[in-house]
Amino acid sequence: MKRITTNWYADESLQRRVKSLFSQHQQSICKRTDRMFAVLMAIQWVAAVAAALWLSPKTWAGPDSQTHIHVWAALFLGGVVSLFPIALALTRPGEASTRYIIAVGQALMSSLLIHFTGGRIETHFHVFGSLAFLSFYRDWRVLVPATVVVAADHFLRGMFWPESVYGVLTVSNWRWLEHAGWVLFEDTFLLIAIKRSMSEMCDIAERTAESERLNEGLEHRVSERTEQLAATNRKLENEVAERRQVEEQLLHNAFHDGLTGLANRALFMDHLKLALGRAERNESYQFAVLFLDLDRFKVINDSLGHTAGDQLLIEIARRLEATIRPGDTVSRLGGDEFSVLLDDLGGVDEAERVAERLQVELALPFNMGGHEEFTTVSIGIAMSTTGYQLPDDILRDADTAMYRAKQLGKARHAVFNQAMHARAMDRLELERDLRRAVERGEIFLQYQSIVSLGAGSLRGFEALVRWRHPQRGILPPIDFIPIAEETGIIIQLGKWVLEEACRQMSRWQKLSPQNKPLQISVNLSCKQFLQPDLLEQIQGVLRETGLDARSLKLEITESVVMENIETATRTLERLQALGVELSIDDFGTGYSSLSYLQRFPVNTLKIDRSFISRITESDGTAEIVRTIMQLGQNLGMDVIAEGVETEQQNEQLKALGCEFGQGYYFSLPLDRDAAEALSLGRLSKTAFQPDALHSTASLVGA
Amino acid sequence: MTNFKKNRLLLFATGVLWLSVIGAGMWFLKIYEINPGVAAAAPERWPAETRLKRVEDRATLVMLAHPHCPCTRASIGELARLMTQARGRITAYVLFVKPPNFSDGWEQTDLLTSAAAIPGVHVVRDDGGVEANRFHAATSGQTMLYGAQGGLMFRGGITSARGHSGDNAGRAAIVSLVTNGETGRRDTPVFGCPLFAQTECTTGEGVGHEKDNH
Repeated sequence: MKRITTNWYADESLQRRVKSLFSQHQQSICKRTDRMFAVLMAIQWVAAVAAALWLSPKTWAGPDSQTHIHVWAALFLGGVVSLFPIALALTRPGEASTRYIIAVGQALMSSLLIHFTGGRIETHFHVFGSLAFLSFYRDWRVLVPATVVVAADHFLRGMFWPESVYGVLTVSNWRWLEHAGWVLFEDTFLLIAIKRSMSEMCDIAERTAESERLNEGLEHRVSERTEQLAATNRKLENEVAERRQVEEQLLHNAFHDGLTGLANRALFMDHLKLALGRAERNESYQFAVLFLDLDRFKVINDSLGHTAGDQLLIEIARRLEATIRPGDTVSRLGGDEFSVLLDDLGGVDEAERVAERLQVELALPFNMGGHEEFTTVSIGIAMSTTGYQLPDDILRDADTAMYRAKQLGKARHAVFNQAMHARAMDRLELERDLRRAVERGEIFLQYQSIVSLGAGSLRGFEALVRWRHPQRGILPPIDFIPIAEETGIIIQLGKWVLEEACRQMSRWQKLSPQNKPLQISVNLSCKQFLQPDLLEQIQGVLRETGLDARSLKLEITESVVMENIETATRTLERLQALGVELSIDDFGTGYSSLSYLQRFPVNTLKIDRSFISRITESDGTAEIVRTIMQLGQNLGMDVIAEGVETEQQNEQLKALGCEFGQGYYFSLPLDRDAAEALSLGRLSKTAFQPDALHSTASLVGA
Repeated sequence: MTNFKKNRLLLFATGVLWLSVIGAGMWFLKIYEINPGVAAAAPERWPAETRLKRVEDRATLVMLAHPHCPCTRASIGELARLMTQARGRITAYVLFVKPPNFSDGWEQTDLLTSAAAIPGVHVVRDDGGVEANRFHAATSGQTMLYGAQGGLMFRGGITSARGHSGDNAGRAAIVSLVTNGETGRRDTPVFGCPLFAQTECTTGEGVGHEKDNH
């Protein structure tokens, strides 16, 4: 231990650990040696008794004998010598006192044995053997009590009975020192051996402590690395989980609508494809596709904003999901279009019942930020019994049926049939032809005169577009304008109409400069009106045609203004600043908002023909017309009655004070030349009279 | 006082008691070992009535022994050393006393065998202790040395204690007598078993009861 405390380690904790290990090791050795001595002393006790019985079993007095006192001494005195150390070795192993008492007991047992054997020199080997055994403790101090006992024993005997111990030839009271000297001689060797052994134990303790420290460092590093690996593993697991989540989300997004969470078109088409496969394998299997389109979504979206629109779509999706059966598929195809795949149906009646149920559910009010909104839905139904091969075909037909439902007045459903298909094909063909109609010069204008009712003079014309279809003949606007609106062709078509009308009016004005300038009215569709460069277009047209802006009157419907109030306000103000006059077409059938009449720079109100057609009836229509006229007059607007077809209507309007009229009563729509002739005054005023209607109409045919 | 201290005190007290008991036992044992037997009042002259034949050119040693006395084993051992040291100057008789009521062979023990094996030693069975009585011996191991002229030169034991081997005054005296003709001591205490029963010993001729208090 000296080396540890002086040389090797400045690390006190390591020194303590070395001492602890050394102590533990020695303690372990001492415990084992204690147990060994317990066995040994028990054996030697028995051996002592056996030796006494063998060497001096009895003592004799002539013929009489009795047990020798050595036997009793071996039994009892030997027992006393042995049992106490044995008891300590068993009950208190490892304690210093135990091994000291064992050492004393062993020395005493040597003394006892030597006496039993009459002081035989061989028995003295027991002393040296005992000392050697005591060195097993690897504690040099244990030799001290044993040596002391031996020395004391010989000292006492030497002092009082020297001849009984050493014999008389070498009798000396101090010869015990010689005996003790030999014991010390052995003790010296044993001490050296014990010290060496202890030194080795110390080395082992040092190496063990150092090894433990290295091991602790290693374990610490391993622990750190393990923790790092665990952290990295957790991170990787999180990343994998996130990636899996993202993949699942991507997969979900790939097949679901991001807003409503419904199946998207791809997933719906996939389910549809599977349904078609089932229908192909099983003739009795039927399914239906419902194509849903909200009727008023655009109004809600534009008026309440896109957020509210999205919220409405989500609510609709939830209702659709709640209404259909679990096995059916509902998807959002885009915008306000939804589709439902009704699987395994009994027939078209069942599909219609589902459609009706959906309409009922969707007709219920939606709570949109505290106030209720209503919407309706038009549904087209296509049944699998038609024998479809491709999913697109049945979806297309459901779409067609939906359009049919819209055409029939919305908020209803329609089941697809072949007539619809034919109409759809026809419409498709018409759309294709319309795209090239302007280039081919198939589009032309007719002009319907606008007449001053009081003076009977021509006030201007409304340009009416016509399409001279190569196969279908002349088509009215109702047959192709909706298609142009839907397909966007209306932009190109509207521009052409505007240019052509302005060019004609400019020409006519130039041909009769002496006459009061006529006005040309041109209808603007919603899409045209919302064009960002509308003002530049009109300026360009006026500049190219040389028409004065005041001779151009643009007619827009109420809905165009009301559905785009902010944009409409700015556009109307800029048009007014340009000098172009503005007219509200079909007034009285839509919003008929009085506030916008005051707010917007409108010059003219055109009373819808539905009022004029009933003006002679006693249902109050005349009063409405009168009110509109008074309203217009009070706001400084011109009022034009549309659809004047009879003398009675004309007279009634005049009686009501209507200033201008337009309709078949005055003139059918005229072609360019007839309109030009009329504008140049080559036609008499009678051309505006009812009896001249037919002659005027004949010009149209030209 | 803590339990630890109590335990230490108890241990110490037990240790002291233990050592005391052992010390007492050892003391008692020692007393037993150094307690001599009855010394013989040996005749000053070689007894005429003895059947033993004295050799006239050398000293004659007579040892009385109990064939079963364990203490006498040490005396036989010392006799062997003595005979070696005497170098033929002694003729020795070892008389093994056989009580009258014991059968033949009772005396055939390892002691007799050991004694018979010593060169120059004659082993004699002493039936009924007749010869022992002639030499007034009462204790096993009693040794007497007569000179060539038949005079008693030494009487006593040749062990230092009961059954104790090793140098002793008796052996040293005999060796000195036969080699130098003189010695400092002519009698020593005898350590051994009584050759006769208590009653027998008391009736033995010339048998004294005094103890050698050496």
